[in-house]
Formats: sequence, structure tokens, C-alpha cells
Amino acid sequence: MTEEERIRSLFDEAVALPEDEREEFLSRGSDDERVRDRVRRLLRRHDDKDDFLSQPAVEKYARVAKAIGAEVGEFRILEEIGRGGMGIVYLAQDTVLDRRVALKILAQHLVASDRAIGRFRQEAKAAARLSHPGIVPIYRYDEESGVHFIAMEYVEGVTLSERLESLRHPRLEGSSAPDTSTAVGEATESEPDRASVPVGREYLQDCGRLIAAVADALEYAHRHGVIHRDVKPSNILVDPAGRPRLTDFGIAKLPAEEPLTQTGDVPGTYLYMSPEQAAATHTKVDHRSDIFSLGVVLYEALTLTRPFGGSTPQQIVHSLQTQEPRKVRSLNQSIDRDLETICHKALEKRPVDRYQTAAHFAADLQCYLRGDPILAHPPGLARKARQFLYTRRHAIAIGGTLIAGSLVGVYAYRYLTDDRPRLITGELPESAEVFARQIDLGTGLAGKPQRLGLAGGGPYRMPPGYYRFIARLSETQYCEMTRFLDRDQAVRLDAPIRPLKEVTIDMVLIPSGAEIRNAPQEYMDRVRGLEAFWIDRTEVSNAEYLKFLRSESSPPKAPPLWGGSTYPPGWADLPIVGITYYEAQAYAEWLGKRLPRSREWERAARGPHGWRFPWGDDPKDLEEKANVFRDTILPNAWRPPLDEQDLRNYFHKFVLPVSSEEPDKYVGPEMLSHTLGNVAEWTESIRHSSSIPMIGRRIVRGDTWSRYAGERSKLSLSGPKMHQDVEGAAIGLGFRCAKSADVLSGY
Amino acid sequence: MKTTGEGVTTLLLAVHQGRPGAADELLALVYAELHGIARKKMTQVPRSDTLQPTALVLEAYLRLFGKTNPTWANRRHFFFAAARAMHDILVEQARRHASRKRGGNRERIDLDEGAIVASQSEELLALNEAIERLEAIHPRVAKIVMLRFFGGLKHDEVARTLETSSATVRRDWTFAKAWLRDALGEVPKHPDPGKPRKT
Repeated sequence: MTEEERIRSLFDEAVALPEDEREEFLSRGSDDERVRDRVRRLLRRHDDKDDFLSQPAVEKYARVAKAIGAEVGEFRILEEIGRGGMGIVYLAQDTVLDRRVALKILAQHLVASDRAIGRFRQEAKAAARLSHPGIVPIYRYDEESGVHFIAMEYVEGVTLSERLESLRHPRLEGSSAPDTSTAVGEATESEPDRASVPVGREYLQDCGRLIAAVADALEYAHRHGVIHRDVKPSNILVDPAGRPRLTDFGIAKLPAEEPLTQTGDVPGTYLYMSPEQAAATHTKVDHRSDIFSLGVVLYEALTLTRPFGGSTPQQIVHSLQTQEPRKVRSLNQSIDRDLETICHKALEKRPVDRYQTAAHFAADLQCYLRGDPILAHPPGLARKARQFLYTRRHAIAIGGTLIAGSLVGVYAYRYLTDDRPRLITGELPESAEVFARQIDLGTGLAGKPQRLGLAGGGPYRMPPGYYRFIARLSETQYCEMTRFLDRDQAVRLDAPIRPLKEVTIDMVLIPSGAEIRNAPQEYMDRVRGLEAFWIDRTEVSNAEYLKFLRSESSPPKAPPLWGGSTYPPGWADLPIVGITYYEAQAYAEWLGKRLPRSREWERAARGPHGWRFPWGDDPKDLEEKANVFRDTILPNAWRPPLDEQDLRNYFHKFVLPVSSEEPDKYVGPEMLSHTLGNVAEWTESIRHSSSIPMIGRRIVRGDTWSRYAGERSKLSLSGPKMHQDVEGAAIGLGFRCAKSADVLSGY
Repeated sequence: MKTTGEGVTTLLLAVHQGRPGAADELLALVYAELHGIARKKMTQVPRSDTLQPTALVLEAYLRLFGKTNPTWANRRHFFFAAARAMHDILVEQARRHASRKRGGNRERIDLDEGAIVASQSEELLALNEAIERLEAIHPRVAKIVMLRFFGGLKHDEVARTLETSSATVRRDWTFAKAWLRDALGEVPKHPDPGKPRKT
């Protein structure tokens, strides 16, 4: 028995004895004084009747235990600073870098939802891509033991929402609201308190500067493919220097997940939603939704009144979709007309009527701030009529088609800012009339033609955007040029104008989409807005492309696949491939044509009945009827080509001539060859990713000979669409051309 | 990675059969669960201010086992792991706070709270040192401290877990308290007369 064991055993026996018998027991039990002494001490400790170890550790050291939750990664939570739909935001200390951060933690009840986590993470990623002085930067996203968090810069200051609130209740808050002495305008129904609207140029200019700065930040985000979706005063932090910082990127709930029938508090978000967002069809929501929301913020800042209101979500949404907001000047007379025009322009119901980019919005606010004329026009008579119709449409619930066709407006700008793109038209004949049709980035539809009063060959400034320019000598002699105009860019309009008769040989005339009657609804919806057009029966061949290369106006180089200045023997009738979008476009314009839109291509390929395949709706015998899956002929399916020559052999082996010699084979309902299979084809339609236009990518239609047979189910004329970088040439990618038949439709 | 139900049962069986590394795996698993649960209290609305050890252990238990009903043998291993994990979590946390205090990290807010946490942390660390010494001499006694104090188990549960009698547990517990108090009482002041020596 060790000494410790003796001590233990003596203690056990002694402790069971009455106190006065213990000493005697000890002297009997051990002759080692040290052992006895130790047992005595233990007994004394035992007799100290206190609560030692009576509580479990977690309770006893509750403060320590509590701090467990207060540690997330290297961040120590200090206090709660805000709550949002997806979680709580804390002020926290980064214990490694010793700085303050704002820590957003995904709410516990959402952790079970993979979707919520996915969105939390994805949006953190999106925001992390953004680095802009007007956007609160994200430091880190992580997950620890089931806690998902985003660490971001802690911005001292107040939210715009708090700031506006303190202006609304200056006495309650005792704030330093500027110039609130004069109340202007009357309280409206949507205005719970009689607010003192700040007047004075200084305040209004402050608002203008603030919103312009937010618009700059939004523009930056939009260009990086991020839509905020929840622009509202509480997501705009104003730092002590008065600079706005946009935060909470896309973290807020999507409207589709928040049914309108929900009872309880009015979600603040509805008050700042765009009509299209509130319509809960969030697939149609693009960056212009943010522009609307920012318009609401501007409106509120200028008038301390929200443009749309109601006591239930339904009422708000109704007001949003059917009512024109009161003019800001009726609420605050010190607002100038230009500022009013800007504000209401951002608040247009239809995205196409708003500023098309946040940059436009910002630029106009800058014009106002500088005292220059603004670009947006107050709505004219036609617009007012349409506004009326718009309202009526909702009121009497008739379909949208009545108005959509005739009143699409390209609004006029006064072209003033210096960084607007320039048009140079020196090469066009003097007698040509030049028109511009802005292409709606959302719908792809070309707007109403606007005649450009060109003189002396330019430069002529345009607002940035996607346009189709038309140079016209007569009804049967015109050309089209589709261009994306970016800031600080010069664009030359110099396509040859050729007679229609000459151009449209070997083209098929496709009537307007309105003439399609007996087809699946999905198809009718897609082709409805199309105007009549011509389209090439065949893909462009190597021989045709060589003619272009040999012509005077030939800028592009020979396609690398040729391996020289001309195509390899036997390739004359094979489709041209491996060229960029710009090269394909240059070819089309040289011939007086253009590239088709994606939907035009689809209309031509699917025919009047909207077939899913060139021969009908039955995918049977796909391999026989379309030039696809050719790679499967190889013993080991696809193998990468060994070198250039191998690639050429490969191509030659599987690609078919553009014009099919067999009448029943490879030809679709409108007599177009090889729409499905052979080579895919460029279109001029800009690809959208989550409703955001990706200016540098175009939709590619059809499919290629090299499509892997395992993807059979994806293969149809109505299936998923491919897309390609404008600069990216591909061996499976060629093109065919189109031309508008009704080029000045609606003019 | 989520291990629930059968996964845990298999792991417990492995612990039971003495598969090398299984106990560590189980500990890591339970640790993660408990830590997660404790931490998640922060993100709950309304935030819960107190942590009940048994509630915590129970929650971890439910999360790990789901609706399966493990054998008592399995539960034993779980309770060991849970108590150990709880101990590790608390001690780890205490170390951070104690070191923070020593490191002179400036605290601008929550000064009082910080001071309390720091003093509790030091106390807990001292206790932990004492328990470690106890473990070297009386491993079974230390186990009981672990189960009762950190695991929050009651005497009879401890007895079942250790497959021993309630009376033994009671005796060990009595001894443990006296021993630890003694060790704690002496440690900071003088060279430790009660410091155990092996013979």
C-alpha cells in the first residue's frame, strides 16, 4: 500500500466517525505522523461546510461558459448592433489583428436550411469580390461548429435610416437636423407623423451627393454581376465624414420566399422594393430593380416621406404597382425641377423607363449638383399617357400586350457629360439617315427607332447602352450595326449599305412573332415580340469567309484552324469555325447583314409550330437526323487532338458541308440547314447570369457535332443555351447571318 | 460532417471493444457537438444566458444519437466523452481569458465582466491543475470528479457509468472534495506541503 493509499483508506474510515472519535482512530490507524497530519488536514477540509464543487462546472463557471458562445473563430463578440432577416450583427473584436469588426451570424433557425446557408455563403462570396470605397468590405466568411458568420469592416456612424428618423423626430432625438425650422408640404396618409421636411439647397445637395455616391457603389457592384436586391436606408451606413457605405449585400430575403399573405409586421423591405421585385417573379429582377429602390431612398431623403405606403404588405405592393407617387415638389417646394425629374425617373414602374444603369443615375445627380442640365427629360405627353395606361392596366387587369408594343420609349438624353461614348460615322454616305434603337438588356427587344441628327460625321455622343444602329438610304437599302457602347469609347459606324435584293439571296424571310398561333405557350411567349427578319439558310462556309478576308475592308485575320491564309483543300463548303464574335459580326456587316438574336434564331429553327427538333417533337433517330455525337464514332469516345493537324483532320472528318445535299436530312421547317448539330452559331444576344447582363458574352445557339452522346437529353432546339466569350473562338462554333425586314418598326 | 445515429453507435462499440483511437474520435465528436451547442446559444433569439450542463449534454446526446436507443454500455462511453469534452471546452476557454488578462489586451468595454471572467478563469485553471494531480494518484476519483463536476451527472448515474456502487461513488466524491480543497488551499501560498509523492 502506498502512502497515498494509506491516507485515502484512513480518511474514508475516519470521515465516517463522529468528530470526537477521529483522533483516537488515527493514532491507532497509523504510526506515521506525516500521514496522520495529512489525514487530519483532509478531514478539516471536509468539515468546512461550504458549497465547494456542489454546482456543476458549467454553472459554477458560468461566466467562462457564457464566453464560449462569445467566441467565433478569432472574433470575440462584444455587443449586438443590428438584426436582419438572416441573422444578427454583432460588434466584435478580432483578437488576432486587434481591431473591431462587424460580425454577422446566420440565425440559428436557418442553419438547418442548406439553402439559407448556401445563399449566406454565396452572397458573402459575391460581396467579397467587391472592393469599392462605397461598399463595406468583407473580411472573412467561415463556419465553425455550425455557426456561419461573415466578418466585415465595422463602420462607425449611423445608418441612413436612423438619420432620416432623427430628421423626422428632431425634438425627440434632440438631433442636429439641418434647417428643419420650416415645414413644407402636408402630411400624407403614408406619413405617420407630421414631419418637418428640411429645406434649403444645402440639405438637398447633401442628399444628391449621398445618393450619387451610393449609385456609384451600385454601378460597381452591378458591373461585377452583383445585384443588391435590398437597397434601403438601413443598409446604407453613413460614416462620420458623411460618406455612405452600402452593406448587407443580397443577404436579405428574396421576396419569393416571403409570401405576401404573411401576417404580422410589415417587412420594411417592401417599402423599397421595385414593382417587378414585389411581383414575386424574381427571375425577372435585374440591376434596374436596385435603381428603383435607390430612387425610393432618394425620394424619402428629399421629402421624409416614402413614395409608397400602406399598413399591410398587400397594400404596399398594390400602391407600388398601381400608383404614381406624389411629386416630390408637392411635398417639399424647395426641390428643383431637375432633382424632381431625376428622382421620378428612377421610380419609373417599368425598368426600361428608368435609368438603365446606376452610372446614369449617378451622372444625372452630378449634373444636378454642378448645376448643369440633366440628361433625363421630364415625362412627355406620350409617357404620361402610358403612365395612365400602366395604372389602368393594373386597375382593370387586362393583359400587358395592349401597351407593350406601341409605347416602348427610347427616352431622350441631352448629351452632356464628357465620358459618354462617341459615334463616328465618317464612312457612311451623306444621304444616309441614321437611327438608333436601344436594345433592352432585360428583354432583348429593340426599342423604338430614334433618328440621330448626325452632321459632319461626328463625333456624336450617346448614353452608354446596347444599341442597334440603322443607316438607311431607302426602304430597300439599309444596313444594321449592333454595338455595346461603353463609357469613354469611340464606335465607328461604317458598314456598307447594300440593296436588299442582293443581300437576301439565300435568306429566308421569317414573319413576325405575332403570326405564330398554334404552338406551345412556352414558344409563343418567346417569339411574341419578334419583328419580321431574314435569316441565312445555311451556316457561313469557309469559301464565303475567304471572300470576305480577301476584300478591301477585311480587318480580321484568317482563322487559325486553317493553318494558313486559305482553308485546307476540301473545306470550301464546310462551315467556318474558330472565329470570334467580332469577326463573325464584321463578316455579316460587310455583306449588309447582322448576326441573329437568340430568339430570332430559335424562331427560324423551330418553325411556325415551335418544334423541339428540326423535324418535329420526337427525339427519335437524333443521330440520323442531325450531325451530332460524331465523336462517339471514335473507339474511345472523344480524345483530345494531338496537334493542329490532328485537329484539322478531326474537324474534316466530322463536320458536314453547310448546305445539305439530301433534301430530308438536316433541314428544318423553315428550310434552314444544320440548326441542330454540325456547328453551333453565334448570336448577338447578350448572355445573362442571374438576370445580370454579361456584356462580354454572347448566347450561342444550335449544337455541335462534338456534343457528347451522354448529354443527349440536353440536346434540342429549346434546351439549355450555351454562351461564349466575345473574344473566344471555338472549333465547334460558327455562325449564320440575319437581317431585319421591318427595320424601323414603330418609327 | 455530421455523424449521427448509427455512426456514433458504431464508434461507441469501437470504444467498447478498445479499438485504438476510437476513444479520441468519440471525444472529438462529442467535443464538437457540445462546443457547437454552447456557442449556438449566442445566435439564438432570445439568447439564453445560462448553460445547464445536463441540458447541454442531453442536447449533444440527442443530436448524436437521434432517436436510436443505445445500450447502456454505449451511453457510458458517451457520458465519459461528454464530461471530458465539457472539461476541455471550459478549460480551453478559461485559458484564453486568463492569457488575455496576462497579455494585457486592452478592454474598452465590459471591464467588469472581463475582470469576473478572468478571475473565474484563473480559479478554474487552478482547480484543473489540482484535478490533474489527483488523477495521477487516484485515477478513479478523478474520473468521478470529471463525471460529476463537468458532466453534471448525479451519484447514481456516475455509479452506473463506472459500473460501481453508489456508496463507492459517494465515498470517492467526499474524498475528492477534501483532497482538492486541500490542494487548492495550499497551492498559491507556500511550497506545497500536500504535494503528493509517490513511494
